[in-house]
Amino acid sequence: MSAETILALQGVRRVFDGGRVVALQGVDLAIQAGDFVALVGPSGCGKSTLLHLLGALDEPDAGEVRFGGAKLVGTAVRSRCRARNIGFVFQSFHLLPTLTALENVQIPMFEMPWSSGERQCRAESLLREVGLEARLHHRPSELSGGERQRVAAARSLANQPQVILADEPTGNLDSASAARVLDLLASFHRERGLTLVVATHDPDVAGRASRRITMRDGRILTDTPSLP
Amino acid sequence: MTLGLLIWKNLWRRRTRSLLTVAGVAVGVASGVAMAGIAKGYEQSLARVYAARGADLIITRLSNHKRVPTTYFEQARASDIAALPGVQAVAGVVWVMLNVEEESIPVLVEGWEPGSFLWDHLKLRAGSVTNGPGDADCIYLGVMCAEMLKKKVGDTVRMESRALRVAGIFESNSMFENGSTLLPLPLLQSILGNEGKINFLNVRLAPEITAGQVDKLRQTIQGRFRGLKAFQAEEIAQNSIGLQAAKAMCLAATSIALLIGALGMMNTLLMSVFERTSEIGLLMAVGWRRRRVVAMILLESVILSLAGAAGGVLTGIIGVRIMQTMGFMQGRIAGEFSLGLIGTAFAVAALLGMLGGIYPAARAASMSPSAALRSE
Ligand SMILES: Nc1ncnc2c1ncn2[C@@H]1O[C@H](COP(=O)(O)OP(=O)(O)OP(=O)(O)O)[C@@H](O)[C@H]1O
Ligand SMILES: [Mg+2]
Repeated sequence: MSAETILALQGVRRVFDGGRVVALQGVDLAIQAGDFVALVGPSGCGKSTLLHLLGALDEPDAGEVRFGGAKLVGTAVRSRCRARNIGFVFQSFHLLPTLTALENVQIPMFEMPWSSGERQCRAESLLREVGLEARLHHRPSELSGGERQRVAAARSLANQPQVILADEPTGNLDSASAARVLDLLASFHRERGLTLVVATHDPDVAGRASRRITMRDGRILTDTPSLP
Repeated sequence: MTLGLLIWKNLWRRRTRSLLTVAGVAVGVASGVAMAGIAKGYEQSLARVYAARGADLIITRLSNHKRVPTTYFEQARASDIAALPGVQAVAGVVWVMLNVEEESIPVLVEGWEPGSFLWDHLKLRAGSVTNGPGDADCIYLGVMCAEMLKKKVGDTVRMESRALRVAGIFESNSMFENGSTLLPLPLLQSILGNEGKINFLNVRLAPEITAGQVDKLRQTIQGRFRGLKAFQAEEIAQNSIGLQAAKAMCLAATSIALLIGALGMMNTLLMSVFERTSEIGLLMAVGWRRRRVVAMILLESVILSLAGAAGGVLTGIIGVRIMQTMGFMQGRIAGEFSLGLIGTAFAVAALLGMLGGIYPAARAASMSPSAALRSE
């Protein structure tokens, strides 16, 4: 059975510094709902750039980006799409330093029609799901790297997105923490049916994906389904 | 969690900087509130002078600009005006600022027509106020003035090379009179070499007179005696050239202080936006609309400026209250702080907060989320 395409890039080109740096060019890509995609390739090949385009954080210089068939054009359309459909996990966590774990998870929820009580309740259950029920009121500086990334993972689920985009989610973690975070993301994919796209250098991550896209110099080199 | 809590944590994170910004705004607001309060107090004290004396109309001769203080006019006008319908009594007055004794600051010196109604409201503290022509070369001191000159009954006071004897010390419920020196009109006129001239005529109206009749009387006076103008007590203060100038200076000084406060605010917020670039990137990454980011930054600046307003209003009021009891300012200033003034202070501060926050907020909202996230 062929699942529906949730994210699609067509003829995408992205340059920086007035065209001197070509980060992506001629990229065509379709990601099916429920996929677990690993994005691999050497440093500087354009993985983050691609992920930012997929996540509506950025605009291509040429070509188009579609989410669920709809073109992502204009800042309002993109920010709405991010709020409703996409969760992010970053290598450097990007937690707000003055907020507790519980508060950090609530940040995306401001865009949803939920009361502060509902936000709090939801954040608590998400943190429980990632095994941090004992760390609700800790600030990022009081958490280990692995715990911080689990807070970020919980935050990525805040608004019940369909897609999680993770940019080197294990890049700053020791192997035990990395394995735990990876298990968590994989469980989101497995149990919630979320589409997961992970840019990574970590062979473990790549090994668990259902599809592996290799990039080089701003282009897609190979795109292969992994063995089940 | 609410947006309010997030904003509070943002401000509290850099509390020293936030507090200094608040202090910057507070200085501007405090000076504005203090100066406006003193000006208002002055205006009201001036009006109260006439209320205390029971003078309903004050007649002066206007020089060019329809402003007080004024030029002298013939004392003979007094009897003409006394004869007009609706006028119960008139009293000629000379009102000057003179250096008395060695005091470097001029003192208010008034000459009152002997036997007039003006003398009735004074409460005697020491000696005697004769309410009449008085002994030759006798003067009377308001309580504050006596304290300031360190004089008691029987002492001698030098004024324009004349030695005058303190015959009495009085108190009235007007701050101005308490700080003034009082002489019988003819004595002051002779000291000034200005016999037969006055610069104010205080008029007491008949009790049954209506507002319409007062207006008519004023028009009659102004029509019949060219150059003279009849004010009601409140108007005198509003038309005082000194007060107008002082108010203009206060406004200028306050505007500068507030401008500096607003620039400080803008600087603080701009710094905080720049150092939070990647956090703002994250907020946008998780889908925050630009409007929400703008609201967050603007609220931060408005909260800082309202805190500044609160601090400034308190400091301004307390400052004036302290100054009122200090040194030469004692008895010379009386702050009057209305709710309107306080409300204005808060409104102006909120507006400045908005203005100071708009540019930093616009900068924050114009960031590309992708670039902002990479900025770490
Ligand atoms: N804002 C920018 N300005 C200039 N050049 C940029 C910018 N963002 C990315 N680049 C360039 O685009 C290319 C692709 O960068 P990108 O971050 O996508 O690589 P990557 O595959 O994620 O690398 P890594 O594995 O190191 O994270 C690089 O050459 C990078 O220097
Ligand atoms: Mg990268």
